[in-house]
Amino acid sequence: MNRLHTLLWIAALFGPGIPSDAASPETTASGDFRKHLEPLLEAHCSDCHDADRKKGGLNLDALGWTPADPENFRTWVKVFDKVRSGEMPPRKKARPQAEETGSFLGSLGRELHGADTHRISREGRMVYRRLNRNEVEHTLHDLLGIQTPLQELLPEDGKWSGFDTVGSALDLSPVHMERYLQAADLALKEATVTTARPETVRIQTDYNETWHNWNHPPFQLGSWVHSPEGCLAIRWNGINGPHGELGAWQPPVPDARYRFRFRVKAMIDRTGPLASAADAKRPDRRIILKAGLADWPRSGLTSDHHYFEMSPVEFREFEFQARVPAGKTLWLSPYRTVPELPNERAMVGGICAVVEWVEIEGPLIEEWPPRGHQVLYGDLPLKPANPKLPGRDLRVVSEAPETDAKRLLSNFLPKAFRRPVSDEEVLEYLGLFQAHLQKGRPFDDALRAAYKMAFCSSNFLFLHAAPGPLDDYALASRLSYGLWSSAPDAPLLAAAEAKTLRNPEVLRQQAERLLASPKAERFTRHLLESWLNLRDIDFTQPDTKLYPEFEEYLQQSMMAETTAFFDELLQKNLPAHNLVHSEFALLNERLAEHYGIPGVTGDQLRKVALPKDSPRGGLLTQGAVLKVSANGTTTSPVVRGAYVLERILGTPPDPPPKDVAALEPDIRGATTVRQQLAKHRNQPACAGCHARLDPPGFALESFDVTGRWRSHYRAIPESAREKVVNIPGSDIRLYTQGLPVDPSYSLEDGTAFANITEFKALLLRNPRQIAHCAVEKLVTHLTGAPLQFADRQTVDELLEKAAPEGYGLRTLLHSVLQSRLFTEK
Amino acid sequence: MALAPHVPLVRLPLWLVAAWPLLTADAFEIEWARVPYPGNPPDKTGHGSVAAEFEISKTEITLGQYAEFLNAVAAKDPHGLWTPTMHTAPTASMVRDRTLIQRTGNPGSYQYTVPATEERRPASFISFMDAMRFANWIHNGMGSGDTETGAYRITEEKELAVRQPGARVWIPTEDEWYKAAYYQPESEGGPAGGYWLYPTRSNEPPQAKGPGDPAQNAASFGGGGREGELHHTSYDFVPVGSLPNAFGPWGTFDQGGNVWEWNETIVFGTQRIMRGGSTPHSVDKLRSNVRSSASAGRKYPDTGFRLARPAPPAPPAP
Repeated sequence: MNRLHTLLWIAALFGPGIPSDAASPETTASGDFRKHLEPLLEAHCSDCHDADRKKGGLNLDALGWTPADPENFRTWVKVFDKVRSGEMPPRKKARPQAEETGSFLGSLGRELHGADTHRISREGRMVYRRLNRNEVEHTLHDLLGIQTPLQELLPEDGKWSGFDTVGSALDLSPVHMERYLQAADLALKEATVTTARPETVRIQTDYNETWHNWNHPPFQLGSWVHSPEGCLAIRWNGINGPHGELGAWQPPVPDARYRFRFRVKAMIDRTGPLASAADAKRPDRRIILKAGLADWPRSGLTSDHHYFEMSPVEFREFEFQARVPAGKTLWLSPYRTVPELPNERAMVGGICAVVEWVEIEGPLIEEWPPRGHQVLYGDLPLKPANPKLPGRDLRVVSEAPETDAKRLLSNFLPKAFRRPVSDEEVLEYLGLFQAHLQKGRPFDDALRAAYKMAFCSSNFLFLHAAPGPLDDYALASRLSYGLWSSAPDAPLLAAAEAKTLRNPEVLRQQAERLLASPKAERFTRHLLESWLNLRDIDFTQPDTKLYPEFEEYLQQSMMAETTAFFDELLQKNLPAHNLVHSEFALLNERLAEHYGIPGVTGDQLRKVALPKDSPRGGLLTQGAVLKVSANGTTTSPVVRGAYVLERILGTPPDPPPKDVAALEPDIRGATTVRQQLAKHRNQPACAGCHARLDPPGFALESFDVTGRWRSHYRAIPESAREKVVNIPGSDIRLYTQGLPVDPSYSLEDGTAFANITEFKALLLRNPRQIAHCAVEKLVTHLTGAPLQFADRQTVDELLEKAAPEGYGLRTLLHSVLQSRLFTEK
Repeated sequence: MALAPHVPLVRLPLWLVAAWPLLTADAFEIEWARVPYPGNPPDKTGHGSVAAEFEISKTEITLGQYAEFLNAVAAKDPHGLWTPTMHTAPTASMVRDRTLIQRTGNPGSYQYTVPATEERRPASFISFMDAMRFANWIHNGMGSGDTETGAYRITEEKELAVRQPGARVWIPTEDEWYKAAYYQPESEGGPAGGYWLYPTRSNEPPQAKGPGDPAQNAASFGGGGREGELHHTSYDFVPVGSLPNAFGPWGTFDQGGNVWEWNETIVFGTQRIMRGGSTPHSVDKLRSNVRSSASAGRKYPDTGFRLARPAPPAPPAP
């Protein structure tokens, strides 16, 4: 960003005698306003952007001033931004004087600000916003105390620049309504008690029965051996075959939550039926255990994976909790060794998990009847549909159906709608209940029909707000959906009812309370999914021939790293520039091994001070970011450049021209991407964009698609005779060493850098820009609307206030929450 | 009980002919081994200490003995003591192409027969529940009556049934089974510490051998890796006691290999211990520190049992 232009614009816009809201479409005639712009437009722009040339599709001759037209408004904002950033007029052309630019930006900025402020005062910043499917699921889970997955029932949400909270992208179709009905049905069914309280039991078992079940012809897979202690050991068998599933257990109550504990130890099988000569030479190593759930007895495919590090010396206890659907059971499998010597490869041959015992406790029940049942039916009694079968097929019964239904609906609807409800609204839903009751439906069925309609109403599915300051309930919802992706809880609604929430101190306290809750994990997760596009982490899988060391545990560690890193910045209020470069990282041993950082052991993430010469630190060099910004085979400086500009610097490039084909990766390694791109960007039509795109993209060329540091590209060998590369961390080597990587480049202003470290140092010269980007993403996620022109003044103000303490991330978050962007529609 | 008459003797293998007197004296007669040294110390794993002297059957219960039990109590078979896999194995490779126990007739008049070649092989497809009912049958005098009470009361909490006071016969506890298999005091020629690693009076892994082999350190298990060993790949159990010199410290046969044997001891929930390994499995399963377990109701193609009983008073010293 050109700092001079920024200062000129700020001075012009907010200088003495020019109130920021002085201009509006009603007070400024377009002719007068254009008069201030014409000198610069005529002298520096019209050559390229007139009716004849229309370069970049812009014809200034025909560009009127109709800011109520969104397209016209966007075009003028683009003109403003191009001039302000110095991108226009082009550097090769004659440059306007600073005063000339300042006058232009002042005039145009005032008009744009006035027009946008006027629009917002009429409409608000955001459009009526529907809950996205994350929010629907979280809300129903929290309200009804259920854990049933619902997201998969709901259509995928539209996104604006990656954000699934932006109202304008969240459309509503008949398909949505159909799916909402299904999801509401399922949620209500899950929340309704139909049995006596299940007994929570804790059983201890081991894998012996599983072994007996499987280890007979034709299933004699040899996937099991006995340890010197005499315990059964699950041996890695190279396929997702039937091993590791615990056959002695099935969930006595399906779809409930269970705690799994197990005592395990690492072992290398050197003498069992499957042991090879190579196995006999393998040293004892720590082994990563993969734990999860599996179908029994069909396959070893698992879900809900967890990874634990087993010791070869001693048994260790681990545990995890999971919701267990019918037909699933515990699944344990050795995964890979933890290399301990320089250049040692991870091994899978002969690795075993010795299981001393397994303990399963559940179903875990916090309260009975469950919270959701109490919300839906209060304390009405349960009676068996068939008196001969007590404890089964229970139905909620009422001796005064209408009275009870009215009482329950009066209690339920404010929770579902996140605000007080009128008697008329209660009567509307009571009418639905009565209609179903009159048709002969049982009391609880009729009540659920009314609840279902409430869950499918706009009162539940949309976040309501009127233009101007939000009322306390709308503010409570905005806060809870922003930080929890769910409805406000009782204390937040109480603050809304007391009308204290608009008090800045109360709002801050409530925000802190929400951030301290385990549910705040959703804020980090969903924010980063949108901001960094982490929801697409599985979109591509690295080519197994080129990147054989890539595996699930590494990817899971990467995701955990980025989440923990953001949480660390937020918890400690660390400066936003850490997003670009930090002196520390959050690593476990697997990541440290992947990043080449010594001295980190164990499977738990912890804060690690990075070596002075490490290129790591900050989001840019984190595995998850590097993977999600690459495809499975190769990296593209263009793609990564666009990613950095949009998501780290907040200066997205223009969309690529439609007639330009994407680069085809040369997996044979004959040419580097730099050589391929050189031909392309030397064309004058391409040079402008690539001057911005290429620097960050090339700086990141030192990292492959898995986020691993590289000095050379990898290539698929053309013949078997080519020498393959033996690198640590892999049992398989199918690639050759390709051409060397050259990460050097220069910024648009000509400043050269040699590598990622120097590039990051250049970015750190402008910490305000990094903070601005963070604020932009926070505003978009928290308010459901992208940053708008009229917001710029507010953002500049809050950044100015946050500057003295280095733009601490928590400070920025609170500043956004306290700003009118958040507290007004 | 006599051999089934329809099996011609000419089809019997030579080793069976040689061992004929031992194997056919009385098909049902259970030979017992006395296990002395009451109050012996456990080994370092904590197993093997038994307070009282007891006897344990020298061999696993055979198909012939089990068929006699079925003929006595399972004319209706409400408890599923017989399982179809005893007649026809689920797959050809699971159990060698043979019938173990054939059931004929209708409910209320079922009859059970065993081919002569199978009579002395160990009963398999036996759950712990089946074994308890067998023990009750013996306890009650082997008539046609009650299988639900006697040595074990199986009327409630069936899979958790415990031995009743005064039981005249039972399934050995893990410590009893362990002591009979591995314990031999140094004074009696046993190893240092008094416990062998394998139930063939040896700390070295046994060799896999076939019926009639005279080796002491031999057993029926998977084998296959060493010179002179057989390589069992299926459920080709050997007749009980057919490795005449491969007996344990107190005269028991086949505590290592042939079939896994149920122990009375519960390890988790309804899971009871099983020990000793089996013909299709590898030699490490015969080692003293290997124990397995399964739910009491499970039937496996390689699992059977043997019995224990109180030791009769020792004969007066001469």
